This record gives sequence, C-alpha cells and structure tokens, in this order.
Amino acid sequence: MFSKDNPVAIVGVGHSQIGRRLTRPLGLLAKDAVLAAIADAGITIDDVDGAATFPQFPEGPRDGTQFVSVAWLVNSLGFENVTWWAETQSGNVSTAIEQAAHALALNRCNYAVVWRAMSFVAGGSYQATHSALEAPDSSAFTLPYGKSASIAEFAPAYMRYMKLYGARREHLATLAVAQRKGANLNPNAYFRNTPLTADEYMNARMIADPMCLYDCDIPVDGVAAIVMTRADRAKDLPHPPAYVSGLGQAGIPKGIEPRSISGLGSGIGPRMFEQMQHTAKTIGKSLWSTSGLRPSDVDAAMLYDGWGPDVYFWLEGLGFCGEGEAFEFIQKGRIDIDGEFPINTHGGNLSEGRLHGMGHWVEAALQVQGRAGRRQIKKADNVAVVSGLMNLGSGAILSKSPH
Amino acid sequence: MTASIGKPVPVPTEIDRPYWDALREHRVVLSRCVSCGWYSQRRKMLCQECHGEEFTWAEISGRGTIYSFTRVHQTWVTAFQDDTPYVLVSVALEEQPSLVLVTNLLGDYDFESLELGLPVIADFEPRGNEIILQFRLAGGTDVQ
Repeated sequence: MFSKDNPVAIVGVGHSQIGRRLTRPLGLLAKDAVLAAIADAGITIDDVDGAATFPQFPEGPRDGTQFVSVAWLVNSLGFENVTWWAETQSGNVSTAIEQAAHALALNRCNYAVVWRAMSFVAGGSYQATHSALEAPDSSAFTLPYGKSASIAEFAPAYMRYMKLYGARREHLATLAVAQRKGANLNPNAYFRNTPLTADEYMNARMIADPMCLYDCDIPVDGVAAIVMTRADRAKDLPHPPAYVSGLGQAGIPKGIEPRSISGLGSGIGPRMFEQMQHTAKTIGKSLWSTSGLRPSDVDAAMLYDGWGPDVYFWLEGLGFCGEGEAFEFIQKGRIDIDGEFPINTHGGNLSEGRLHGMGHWVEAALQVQGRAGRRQIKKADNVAVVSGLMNLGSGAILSKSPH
Repeated sequence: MTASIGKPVPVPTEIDRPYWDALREHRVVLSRCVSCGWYSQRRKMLCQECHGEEFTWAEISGRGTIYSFTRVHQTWVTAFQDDTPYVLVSVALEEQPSLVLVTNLLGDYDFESLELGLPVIADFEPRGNEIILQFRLAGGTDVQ
C-alpha cells in the first residue's frame, strides 16, 4: 500500500452550508468547513501545519469571495504553524489531496487540511455566454457552428457510448434516481428534500442529446474540507482513520487534442470519448498497483459525476466491469445504498451539489470510517474515490485497515 | 440551418490563413507534417508522430464518417438561440480517422436516423467574408 510504514489517513471532515445564491460569502463558508473538519478531527488550529487546495474554477478575481487561496485561508484563520502548503494549478482537488498525502508521508507536515471552495457563478452557469459576432483564433473553429460549453463535447461522447453499446436513456435514469435517494438521506445535500423519479428523469428537458437536465450537475455555493495525518497520530484521534491505500493520476493520451479546464469556452476535444476512457484506465492502473488491491476488493465507489454518464467511463476504465457493460452493471439495485456496489451514496455532483469532487472524498471517508449515518453501507473496507475525468483526473482508494 | 446573418464570423489568424483561403475555393486543406504526413486542422509546433517541425498545407478529399453527434437544445452562443435545436457532428476524416472535426450537419435528414459510421462529405457555407467548412450526409440517410 501507499506509504505502508506509517500510512496517511483522513481523520476529519467538514461541510459548510450548501446552497444556491447564499448570502454568506465564500470565505466564511470556507471558514465553516475548515473549522468543522479540524474540530471533527479532534485537533486544534495550532496543530495544523499543512494546507492545500485546488483554487481554480469557476474563474473570478476576488480571493475570499470567488475563490479561497491557501494564503487567504491561512492568514484569515490565523494558522501560525504551517510548514507545508500547495495550490494545485491544474487538475482538481484530488491532486491537492495527493500532494498532501506525499507531504505527510515525507514528514513535511503532521496535520494537513485540504478544502475545495465553490462559488455559484453569476448567471447560474459555468459556461461563458458568447455574444460577440467575431470568432477569433481557436474559436473560429467552434463558435461559427454554435459549439461552445463543455456539454458540446460530453454529449457526443455519451452519444457514442450509447450507439456503440446499445445503452438507452432509461439506463442512466437508474443512476440519477439512486443518487437522489442518497441525497435525500444527506443533510448537507442541496436536493436533500427533493425526490426524483425515473419518470421525471425521462421527461426532463434535453440540454444536448442524449444529455438531459438531470444528467448535469447542480452548481452550488459550498465548501467541504478534510484533515489528514499519519497512522502514528491518527490512533490518538476520536474517529477511526480512513487510510489512503492507493493513489492514481490520469495519463495524457497521445493524439487526442487535450481539453483543459480553462478552455471551457472554446475547447477542442472532439475525442472526449477516448480521452475519458484513457483517463479512467490510467488512474485505475496506478490505483491497483499502488494499493495491491483488485477491483473485486472494493466495496463501493465515489465517482466524479460532472455529467451522469461519466460514471460509465469510470466503472469500465477502473475495471469494475468490462467495456460497454456499465449501463447494465448499474441496474437492479446494485448501486443503491443497500446494493452490492453502492455508488455516490451522498448524491454526487448531480444531487448533493457541485463541490467539484470534494463531496466524493468526504463521503468515501465517512463510509470507510462507518460514520455515514442513514447512508452507511454494509461493508466499506475499501472505497474508491476519483475526480476529474479528463487529462487532469486523479483519485485514491480509502481503506479501513492499513493492509 | 437558417440564414447565417448574425452568426459568429471566423476571424482567422495569419497562421491559419491557408485553411481559410482554401475554403473560399471550396477545397479542404489541412496542416501536414512534411516528414511523416500526419494531418492536423491547425498547424502544430511539432508533429506528435515523428517530432518533425516542418509542415505544409495539403488538400484532403472532404470525405469522412460520423464519429459522433449531438443535437443542441440549450446554447451558450447567443446568435444560435433562435436555431435550437441544431446538430453538431464529429467527423472522422477518411485520410486520417483519428482526426475528428466538428461542424454542423447540413441537409435534410431525420435526426433519429443518424448513426456512427455514416459517410459524410464536406460542404461549404458562406459566413461573413469567409467560408466555413460544413459536412452533409453523402448519398442520403439510407446509406449505412
């Protein structure tokens, strides 16, 4: 396993309120989540000597209201003992967590706090609206066709999946409904009080065929945070550790135009289908080699769902089922909280809210720790968590025992 | 598609100019590696196949097959708001199927009948002072 002599673990989690157009500024939501995670871990501010985040996206210039940097948070909360910090400039929050794991393993710090702060952007959409009549530079190849926004790349990828393997929309309704059931049991979830039926899913308005409204994540204001430390210190803390037993990061496929997170307006990426397959496969390769586990050893998975069909690519690429099988794999109750392979039990981006993967990490930790309350799954010895289904993705296996 | 008046007009960079000049003559040219023949829509700094640094512009047939497609119902391009739903098609080119270009799919067809692998052919649509590459089904929707 990763760092087996003195393994790294998640020992505390914290959430802010999650909502849309909250009046409480993002910096204060970050304060709420980070202080909650520190208290949950049973440590104090003076113990915190590591800090990391992925502060990018959605874009905005104002630190503390549109994003929350390490400098802003460490300064504002008065962490005086920080000896290690990182802001990942490309990737997603999983890359910040991986860096914190390495820093802890190398004794660069003892208690690292990692957070992800998401602001609900003005206008309600992460996608820029293009009103200009001139399409310069790379946009000359996209905007004249009405191609913009990331859905114009993910929807064809999902269409290709359906056509190649015979999947239908009904199959993905199962995922949206299962995740909503989890959100209905999650007091932090944006859709905690709103049920969703398969009929509502099937009748939802289309955004870009075959992707409907309920295949899209729900943008929110909100922050989630975790505290990490090593086994030698974790044993004195109030909650059982969720050990980081494996780590994986996406490879970058040759020959496929990269689509970067900063290129949402005019990204190229017509071969997103293959990019996502490659991402999930390469993350999986490292997860299994670093953990020594096999997919059959994993009890549940928190799979990043910026779009619902992402989950198909994760399940197949990580090896939980064969290529072209995921749409059948998720049927018949298998992914429900009481099923044999629960997925996104907190509701995921689709129903908890778009915490950009941090909600998935918090839920994976809670399940492994046995603290997921009404969402607790029967067996959570090893839980996979992955985010960023592009070149920039990464993830981990969290485990109850250090193996 | 309805009239193109008011739609975004390409403003080519100097380096892309040969691509746009050829479209004005209803020809499709792509950047091509001089040493190994690898195509790309825009000129690259280096060839990912052979690390070559010299490129030329080479005409292609304009034939390809449908790699994927979507029909856009909610758009973030203001000028297309009255045109929803409209179709985007991803085309794998005959000369190099790993190179996929995205355009609209012109012509009369039933969206529900579209399938991966259907043959398409380049078409050309005036847009401002330029012409943009488009594709249409080759030989109608009954071709498989």
